[in-house]
Amino acid sequence: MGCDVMPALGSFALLLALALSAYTLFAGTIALRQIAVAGGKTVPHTVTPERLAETARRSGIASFIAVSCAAIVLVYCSFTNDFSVSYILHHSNRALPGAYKFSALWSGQEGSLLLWAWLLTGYGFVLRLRHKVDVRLTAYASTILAGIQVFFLLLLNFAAPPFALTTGEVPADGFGLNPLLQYPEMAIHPPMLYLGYVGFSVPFAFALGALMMRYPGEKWLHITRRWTMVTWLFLTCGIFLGAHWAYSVLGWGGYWGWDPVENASLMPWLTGTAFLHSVMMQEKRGMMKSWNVWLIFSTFMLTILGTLLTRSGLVSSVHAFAESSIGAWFWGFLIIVLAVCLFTFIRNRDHLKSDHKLESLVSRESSFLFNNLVLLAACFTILWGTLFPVISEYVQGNKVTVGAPFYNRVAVPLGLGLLLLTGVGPLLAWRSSSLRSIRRNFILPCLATVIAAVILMLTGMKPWQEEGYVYSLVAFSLGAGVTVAILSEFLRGAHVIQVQTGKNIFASIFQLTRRNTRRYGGYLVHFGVVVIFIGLAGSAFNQSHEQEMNFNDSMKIGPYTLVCKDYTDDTNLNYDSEFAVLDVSRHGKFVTQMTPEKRFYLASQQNSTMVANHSTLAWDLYVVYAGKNADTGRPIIKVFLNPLVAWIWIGVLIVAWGTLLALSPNLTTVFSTRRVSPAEIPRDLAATTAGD
Amino acid sequence: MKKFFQLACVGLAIIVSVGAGDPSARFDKLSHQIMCGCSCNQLLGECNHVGCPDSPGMRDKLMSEVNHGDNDRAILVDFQNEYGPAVLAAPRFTAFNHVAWIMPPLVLALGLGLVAFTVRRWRLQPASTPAAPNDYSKTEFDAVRDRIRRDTEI
Repeated sequence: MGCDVMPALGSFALLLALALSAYTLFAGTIALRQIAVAGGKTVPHTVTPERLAETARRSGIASFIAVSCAAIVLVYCSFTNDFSVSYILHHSNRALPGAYKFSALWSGQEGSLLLWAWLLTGYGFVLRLRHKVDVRLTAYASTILAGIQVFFLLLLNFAAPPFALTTGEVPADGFGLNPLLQYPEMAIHPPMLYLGYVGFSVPFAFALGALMMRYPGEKWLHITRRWTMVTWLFLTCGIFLGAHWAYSVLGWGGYWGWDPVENASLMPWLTGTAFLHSVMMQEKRGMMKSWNVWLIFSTFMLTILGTLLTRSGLVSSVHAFAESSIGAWFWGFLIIVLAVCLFTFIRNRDHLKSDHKLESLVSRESSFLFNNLVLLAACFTILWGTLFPVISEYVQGNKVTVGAPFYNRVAVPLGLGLLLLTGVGPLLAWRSSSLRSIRRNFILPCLATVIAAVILMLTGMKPWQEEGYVYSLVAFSLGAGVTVAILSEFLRGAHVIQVQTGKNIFASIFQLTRRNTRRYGGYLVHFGVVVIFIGLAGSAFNQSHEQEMNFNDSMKIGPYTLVCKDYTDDTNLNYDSEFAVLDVSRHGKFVTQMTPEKRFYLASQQNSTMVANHSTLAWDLYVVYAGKNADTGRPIIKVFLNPLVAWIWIGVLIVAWGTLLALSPNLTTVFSTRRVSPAEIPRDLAATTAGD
Repeated sequence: MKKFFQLACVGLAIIVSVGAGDPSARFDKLSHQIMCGCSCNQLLGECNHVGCPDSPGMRDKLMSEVNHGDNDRAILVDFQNEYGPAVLAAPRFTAFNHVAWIMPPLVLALGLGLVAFTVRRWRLQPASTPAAPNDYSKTEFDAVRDRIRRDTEI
């Protein structure tokens, strides 16, 4: 097939996907309406509603195949250097390595919207295949998802078409990929983030569908639980992969700059986290039904709002697609979604009455309530900070900057409050905690907190010297307290098993975890959060030093000495580069050799930094080639010593591990699904399986 | 007791003010409250562009004002006058800009108030007792009990 045919094929696939999605939406709506009106009675129709709903489901499945076809065509055009496609011309070039030709799919506005639509139809594909879990509820969710698909496919067909042709003569080579995106992590960070963003459409569709059909009971929560957790995990990994990419590529020594695009990804994560916690109150006690519905509605709307903010040019961002004309589309879609949610809620709000009420302020329920409050306050703070420049321009006539000093002052205390609740919540009992149990559960964590604070101050941490030190001291101390709280929960449960079975403590912990994966997986996630906070708290002690270096010049930072052994330049088809070769020693002992680099990409005519980083558990030695002194021709080297950064990435791995554990079935469930007779099940499996 | 409190206050004031006059510490602190003027969206203290047209000049200006002994507010106002309000990394100096700082704690306080009000209302209301399932026979109750026993044992 010739290259000129491929853009036409891609455009056709997108148009077909739009038609199929529109059919799923309209046929699904009609079928569900007919079923609802009939109310279980047989009403004569030329096509029965069930059959109509089935055609809608199959059409939805086919839409995934059509969008997949479009995505494959775009990647094919990238690999075959088809610069007749304007998108490929602007985001690829002949010398671009293969992996980055693939990532060109999401490096621009149109391609990333195509990725969004692809993932959305992919989620829909899985949901529609697994429709037997609850046929009617899935039909509602499928129809709602089809509505979202229609919006994105309308965008792709009419507002931001990825297969638009290059006007005039087709250049021999493309303009290349943004150098900042030519980094291995960019092959995984955007898809991961989008899997998280787009994934929240599924619990949203289930929640809205369940409300529309006045779904009896809480089964829909069980159906969506895994969707929500998987989505949350993707978003978590996506956010931290982005932070790691920023740390490794941007070369300013930090990982989070409170840029609007970063903020846009954090907001739905915060409300999604709040939902994951408060939904347990609905599952266990039938409480907070309206609240939960609005949390998941808000999470979905925040994914759309975040996209709107960063793609419409409403707020300025360093990220690529900040200026475009698709803002009006997103505004329209957001208003429609809000109207549908409000209408459905008002119409069915009597269905969301709580079965129980809060019985005590000192209970697991109230800790969830406070956890939700702090998470939503943090979300509001970030939204407020992101929007304030726009509001200021409207009110005062000038744009102000809301950067790190604002967020550090306002959002960090909220984060520390959350860290505290991470430890407190699991120690409280459902319904009400007695004074005795509070004393028993809290004494060790409180002692650990105080002892950690005293030790840290005695060993030289002076919180009165700087605001950042206060936050760090609180984070380290609370981290110690929360860790002890989590550990004591594990040990308490394991002790019961140990007494029953006589197994050693590690085997008991393993068995305990397998028997209530959700509860102990959750604790592991909390421990991961503690580790992340410890890593973040290290940033208060960052050091940096910049120096021009000649051959054999040395520079000292912390315990390290860097000696410049060489500096030179190199070239290849894709970029020219300058780099320095530095020997690093610690207390006179050779540690490693580092080669910080500066690249100049030929196609895009842009510079990029390649940071050299020597990472240990204690600190990162982060070296940047800042450029050459024009007069002397010598390299300028900037070095950062960033304590505890590795803990952040380790913490994320623990969070991912805990989430996967929480997603896995309990050991007892495995037994019951295998239909093992009770006599075959070991007696020691009976205890400590209750509760989250 | 009163004297001890006064001494503690004086001691704390001395401790807090230690290092406040150090020019390099002040430069570092202020360079993290000012944005680089080259639209890179980075703080002046962290801008790392090779050949950045703005940051070297801005750094020199900041250093000279710090060495001159100007206070923090005067320096920030001077930067704002020269580069515009967006040069400050956080909103300052106008009544409306203070709203930016007030709103988040205000919302948190309102949320806390709302939670306290809701909890109080719930606690004042009598707890709803589920209606007795009169249509359940003893054998049905026994069956339910058996099922619960089985479920909780395995």
